[in-house]
Amino acid sequence: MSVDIGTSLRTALVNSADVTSRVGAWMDSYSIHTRIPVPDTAPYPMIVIQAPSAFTDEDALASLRDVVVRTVATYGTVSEHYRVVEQLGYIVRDLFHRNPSVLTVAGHRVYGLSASGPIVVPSAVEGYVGRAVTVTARMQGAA
Amino acid sequence: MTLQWNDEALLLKVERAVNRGIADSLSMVRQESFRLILTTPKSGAERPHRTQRGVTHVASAPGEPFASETGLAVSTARISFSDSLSGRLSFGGAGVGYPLALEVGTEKMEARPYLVPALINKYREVEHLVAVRLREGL
Repeated sequence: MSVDIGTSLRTALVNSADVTSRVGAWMDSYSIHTRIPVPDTAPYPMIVIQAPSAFTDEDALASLRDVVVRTVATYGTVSEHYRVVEQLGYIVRDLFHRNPSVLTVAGHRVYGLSASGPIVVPSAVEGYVGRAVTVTARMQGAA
Repeated sequence: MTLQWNDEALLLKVERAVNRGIADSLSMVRQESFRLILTTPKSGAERPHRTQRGVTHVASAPGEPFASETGLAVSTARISFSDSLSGRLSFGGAGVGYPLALEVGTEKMEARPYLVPALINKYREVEHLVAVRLREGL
């Protein structure tokens, strides 16, 4: 079974001061969500980690390596958070792109991490703006 | 014996061949996304079809490629080329903004991805196809 990296992505985001200084506070933590739909009372700017877009594997010498693709999206209001959302898009990209050591996945060694984007994405709410970064993680199960 | 090296002509051949590979690859990925949308089983909510009387529409569950009901989103698929050695496969356009929301989701809706899975499914074949077109072109 493929590994779930949602919690690991969230932990990496929470450990980044550049991220936490820009997102809203939520339930003694930050407005960074892995469950969708996010609660109506969750504040913006927020980060949402979508379910995997793809699970696959690659051949190694004597094993298979997991490849997981997930979208990390940032949302905020056009009026107040436009620039913050834009900044968060680039911060998320820089945090994950070619930086496998930032992601800790139990029972696995992350040997490849890449990020593409940010691209403009729609929000579910009128008057809100979004940016999305696609994160691809390559992992080897611990022997 | 003399060897004349015409690098301009060679590079032009390479460029044309790779462009053919890119075009064919985008077409292959588009076909794969159509297959994922139109033929893979869906396990979401069931409700009466919007346009066909007596037909039940099965929606996609989160994480599955979206279930086409009217064919509108699929009909917006476009392959375009703005520069040499690059191409773009896009869904959506004027008045049809939801294909992107389906691919990446929103804060209120889980994604129904159809493009990234298509690319992942065809990744190896894309590499092979570009190599084949390159070999054919030289």
